[in-house]
Amino acid sequence: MEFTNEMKLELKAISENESFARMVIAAFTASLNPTLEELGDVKTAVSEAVTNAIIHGYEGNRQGVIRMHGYIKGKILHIVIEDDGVGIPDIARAMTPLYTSKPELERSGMGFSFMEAFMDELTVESEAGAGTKVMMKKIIGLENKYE
Amino acid sequence: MENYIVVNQCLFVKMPKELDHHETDRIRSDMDGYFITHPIRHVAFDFSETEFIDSSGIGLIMGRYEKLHVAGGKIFVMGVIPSIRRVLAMSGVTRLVYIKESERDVFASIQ
Ligand SMILES: Nc1ncnc2c1ncn2[C@@H]1O[C@H](COP(=O)(O)OP(=O)(O)OP(=O)(O)O)[C@@H](O)[C@H]1O
Ligand SMILES: [Mg+2]
Repeated sequence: MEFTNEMKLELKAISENESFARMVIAAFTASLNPTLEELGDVKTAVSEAVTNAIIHGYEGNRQGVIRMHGYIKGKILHIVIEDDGVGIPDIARAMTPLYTSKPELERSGMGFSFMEAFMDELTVESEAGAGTKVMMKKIIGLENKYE
Repeated sequence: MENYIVVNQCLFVKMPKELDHHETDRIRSDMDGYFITHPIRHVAFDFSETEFIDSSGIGLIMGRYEKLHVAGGKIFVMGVIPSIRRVLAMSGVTRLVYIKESERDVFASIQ
């Protein structure tokens, strides 16, 4: 199936861009007539992935670039968020609820858990030194599916 | 509007509209300043104007809890809308904090 819509965005790895990324994904998702709850879920998941790229991927280096790719196929919203940062040596451990490599920053270790809970599918590709790619999917507007 | 106020050794913090990593970094360092200049036992976070929270906000609450509870301090959370309460519950943070309707309820429990 062809994409109904598609967007690509590059962001500098600065914390001001977290709210910008949320606004962009909310506007992009709007064409699927999401409920407020669905919109909140998508914004939270994007916020988590972008924040992780800033804090962990680039470790505060403001020159880092984060790529956000969104596309819509039917009622399914796909979001890919990528960085060229330090990467994740052990993905399974990183995705364990409450695991954080930065407890001194008062991180809760809930980011991946929220992405998993709020989206229908979450896949993480990463390797130490090779950046991180977070792929997420969510079916939007389930209650309107017979329209 | 005043974002921070100390009453009865309780620091009241007005939370922003969107509580993300950008905002939590700012709030955390503001609060650390108050901890130095005031004798603070408890913290009350006012969420009445907050529409968004992510794990950064959860980390802020958990971190403040770690800091205060050893000395018997309490963390209060006021004015949470259902979508935020859901995120707090999912993270387990609702087991660490006292959820209150208003400032008056907070005062009643720290007397
Ligand atoms: N883009 C990334 N690049 C490098 N490491 C990452 C990236 N995203 C996540 N990680 C690693 O995975 C761990 C878990 O991420 P998660 O978002 O679940 O928790 P956190 O970011 O540490 O805390 P929180 O999200 O609750 O503030 C991080 O501590 C970090 O070690
Ligand atoms: Mg995170």
